[in-house]
Amino acid sequence: MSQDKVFIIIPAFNEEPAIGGVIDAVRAEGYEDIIVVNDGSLDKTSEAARAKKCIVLDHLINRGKGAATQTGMDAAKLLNADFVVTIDADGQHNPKEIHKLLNPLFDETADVSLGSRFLLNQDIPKSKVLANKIGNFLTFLFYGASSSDTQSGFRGYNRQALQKIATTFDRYEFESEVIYQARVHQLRMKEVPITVTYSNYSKDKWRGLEHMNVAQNLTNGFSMLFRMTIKSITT
Amino acid sequence: MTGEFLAYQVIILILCGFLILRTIYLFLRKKKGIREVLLAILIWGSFSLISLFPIILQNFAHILGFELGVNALLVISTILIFFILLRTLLRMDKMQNDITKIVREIALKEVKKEKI
Repeated sequence: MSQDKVFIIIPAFNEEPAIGGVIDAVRAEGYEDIIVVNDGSLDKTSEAARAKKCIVLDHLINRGKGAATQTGMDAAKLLNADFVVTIDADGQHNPKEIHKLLNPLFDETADVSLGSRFLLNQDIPKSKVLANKIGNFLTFLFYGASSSDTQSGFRGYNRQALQKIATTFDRYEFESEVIYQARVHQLRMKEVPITVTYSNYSKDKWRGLEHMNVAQNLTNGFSMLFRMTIKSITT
Repeated sequence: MTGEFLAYQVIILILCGFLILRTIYLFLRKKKGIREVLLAILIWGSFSLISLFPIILQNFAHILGFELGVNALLVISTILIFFILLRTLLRMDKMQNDITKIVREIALKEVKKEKI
């Protein structure tokens, strides 16, 4: 296990204030191979990540979290990763829990581990709960797959999953698509309870805008429904 | 036709005539191909014919099983609009995917170089 190459992928868009801290926290857990995918940020996210001496890949323009994560996965494949963990750049996930996602992969009881915010009793903003419910519903509707948290970005993959999963959605729908593709390729999935911290930083981004956040999530939900419909026609 | 033109017929004829002539003008200036000229003549010519002889639409509607020509026009137009919209969306989706592929390829350049 100690010989295995574990890569941590951090897709980031306009996360200059948080990205350095997230990289430090990941590194403190002993993970040295970190790939930051700067998804066309307008701030200095890329520079902040480069200052921490990790692999930084720059999207020239913003393509969405799904596209950025897949770019990170492609890079990990090229770098012969054995295991990959994706983690959000805003600091909401706790890097101390990376091992919780890796354990089922190490002991070969799963090929994909899905971090779930809803297996523990914790304080989650209503807008996030709503977004997840919409995501869960659409995942079930389009793919017939269910999970308690289809929209979590904290996930682990082994090499087999890394080779087989190739998402096509650029935005948040990709989280559902991962579950769908894992099912199609008969990969074993396991849900792992994770904690989330909506820090002052991430809360500040939305402070006073909770109602807008709910409205935006509803709009995103419709937009997801629309894009998933189009994609289901084309593929 | 009774020999007199109604106002809407005159407007449609002028508009369609203008659009056909404009396409021919652009063709002569080598800004459009022969295919586009033929298509313009077919589409705008059909509109002109239908406006001049509305009975065509009525007969066509009867063939399709509609009582009124206007019903046939509405149904066919709606289907056509949905078809065009869907085609446009599919093309846009493909273009978005292509853009992502290019952006990803550029982002991965360094990693690929290192690999070599």
